[in-house]
Amino acid sequence: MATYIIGAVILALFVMATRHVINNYRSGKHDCCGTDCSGGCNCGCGGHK
Amino acid sequence: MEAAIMNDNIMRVALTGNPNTGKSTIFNEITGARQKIGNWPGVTVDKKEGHVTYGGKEIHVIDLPGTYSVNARSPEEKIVIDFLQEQKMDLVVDVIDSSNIERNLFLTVQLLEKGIPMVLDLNMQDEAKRRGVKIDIKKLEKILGYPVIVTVARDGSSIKNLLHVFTSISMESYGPTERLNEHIAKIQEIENSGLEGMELQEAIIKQRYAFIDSIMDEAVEVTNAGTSFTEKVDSVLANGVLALPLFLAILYGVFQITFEWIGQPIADALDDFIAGDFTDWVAGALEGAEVADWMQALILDGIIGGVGSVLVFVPLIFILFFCLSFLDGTGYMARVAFIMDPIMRRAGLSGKSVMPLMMGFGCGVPSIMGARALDNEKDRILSILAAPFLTCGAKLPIMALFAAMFFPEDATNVVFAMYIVGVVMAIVSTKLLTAAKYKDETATFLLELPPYRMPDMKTVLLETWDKGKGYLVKAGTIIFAGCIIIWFLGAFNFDGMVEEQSESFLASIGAVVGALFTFHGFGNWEAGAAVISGILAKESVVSTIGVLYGLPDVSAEAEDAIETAEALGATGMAAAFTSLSALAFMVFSQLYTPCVTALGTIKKETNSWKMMFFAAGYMFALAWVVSLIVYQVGRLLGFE
Amino acid sequence: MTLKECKTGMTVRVESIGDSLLKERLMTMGLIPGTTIKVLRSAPLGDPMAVGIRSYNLAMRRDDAEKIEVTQVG
Repeated sequence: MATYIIGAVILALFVMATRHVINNYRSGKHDCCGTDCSGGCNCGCGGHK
Repeated sequence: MEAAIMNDNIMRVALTGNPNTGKSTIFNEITGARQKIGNWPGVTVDKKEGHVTYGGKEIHVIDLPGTYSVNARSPEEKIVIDFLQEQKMDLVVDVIDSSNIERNLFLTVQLLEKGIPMVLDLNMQDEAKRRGVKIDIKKLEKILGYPVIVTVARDGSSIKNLLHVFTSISMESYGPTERLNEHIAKIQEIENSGLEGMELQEAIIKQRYAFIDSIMDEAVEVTNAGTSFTEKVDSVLANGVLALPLFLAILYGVFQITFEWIGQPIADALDDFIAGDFTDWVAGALEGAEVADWMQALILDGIIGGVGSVLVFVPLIFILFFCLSFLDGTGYMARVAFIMDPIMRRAGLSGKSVMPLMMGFGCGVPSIMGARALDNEKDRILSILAAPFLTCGAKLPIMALFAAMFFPEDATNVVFAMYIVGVVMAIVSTKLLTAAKYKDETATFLLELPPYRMPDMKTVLLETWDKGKGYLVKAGTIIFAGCIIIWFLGAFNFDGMVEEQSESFLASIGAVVGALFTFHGFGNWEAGAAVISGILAKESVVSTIGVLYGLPDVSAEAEDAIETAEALGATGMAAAFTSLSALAFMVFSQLYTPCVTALGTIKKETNSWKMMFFAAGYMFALAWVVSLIVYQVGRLLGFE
Repeated sequence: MTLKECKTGMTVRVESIGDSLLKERLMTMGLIPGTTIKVLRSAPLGDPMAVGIRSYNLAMRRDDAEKIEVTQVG
């Protein structure tokens, strides 16, 4: 019984994680980010939440 | 009508100004964590928006890119002028560095010429006072006809005062003075005089500075131009050959803080917890709940083993980002660009590339994006193609693991050597590409050296969190999903669950890739599988190895290294590599094809699929060759 | 002489700026004929150089400085 419950939880998390990755890919977003150098350049990261 | 009533309670404020005026600090102080960073449509420039409620009013603040002018020569300048001319803002605030008001007024005057009503915010008052700059606010208001206020960026009452001004000022009661109109008429006269191109621009710029000089004469008093604090510091930190060893010392300090003093101890504690108490507790609970053996293995080996091996490095990454953001906030990074330019120029890059490239030690993605700030196409492309060679935070676990396992006595030195390999290859590769493609192009270098300042802690922390949280999210998403997939691929084949991993799907796939490395000393399927998964995310190399060999906790710290190595020795990993082939594997991991996220960023930044595929193939080939040389030369020299 | 040849510590006045990619940006940043420049220091190996103009500091390469004609005033 516990196997099924835990299995279902892991499956749900797996689906959520995969969707996050796919959504990121589709919308051109990425999680790893940030470069706001205040040293006079306007570089920065675009497209992340 | 209804919309108008609703809008009464929402106020829209835009911040504009030169770089280095404390504009972003003001934005961060006003909005705090209530901000989001997006993208201006069509261009790769940050769009920062935030909101705050003050006096019952909701205030939306937009932080426009810092620019010196609005000639629309760069994407940033175009954004600023288009935005201010097209969007009806309730208030535009021009943030001015009071200690450098002369040059700052150029943008102010240019915007006023375009008929954009503004509040002039004389920021950094404290600094101006120290430097003997006294501004007659009333007179400045009288000359230009627009309201002038005074702030000290980090001071709480300044921010409150600013918010008060936002909500109480009525811009309708202000307008251009006769004197400003006269200046505008002169500009129009020049525009209609028949001059063209550069000559026209030159005449306009001269007229603007003539106007500014007259403002300076009347409203600004500069006394005591003694040697400033910045000058004194710069005469040490940015002067001649001594500046370089000092830079290395500062960099070494950052790495000490990250890997010895603060970051590593936290990482070790986390490691102890995840691999010790937490794993034991989960194992006990699963056993107690009578969960099936294979599910236990999935959770303990697959998920905790895989994700845990990545999570352990999160403290290191946060500390490293904190240090880099702090240094950036002081103004030192501009000096780094200045003192490194002689070296970078010889490698075919610009000193300005140092700033984005240093980010590459955290993550390749911001490093690739940071190349935007560079002045020309050649510098940008070369910088983008150099960044992935550096040891990013996700590659660090690979180096730490292999060094602890195969070089327990010299783990720290071997890891440091891998950083050097990355830097050297970035330079060598840049030289190769320059020789092949950009032989005759000349580059220019123009950079403001802003005054040294104590960084605003709120800004530093916001930046650190912004950069570091990505690792947490990645661990919970792509790494988590990847670990589960790797575990299943390693536990099953077409006939169902396998007894031995060597019969699994993963073994078959890994063997194909592994065959590429027959002459590198690591032609086994496990290494092959790790290499493939590393293209998904570099952390996956370690988490895959963690899943495949069922690794216990792994520590990068030298003291624990022997203990760790013993624990690892009991696994199959010790038998799969020799010291030399482990070194070859580390070199390969250091240099090969960047992760899909970085590749996607290369595509986005260069707007070219060709460039992306070139980067992927070129880096794989380069890594393959260098790693082969390491292994074969090592063997000739008699190493094992 | 040109700004390229100026030594650390010299104060000079801009006479003219020759055509270059940087000309408009230099002028926008306040470096126009008549502006006073103080040569502050140089990076390792003498290039780029740091100069003070209009109460802020600017770094530029000597090759770019060659385009700027100046006369010494102090």
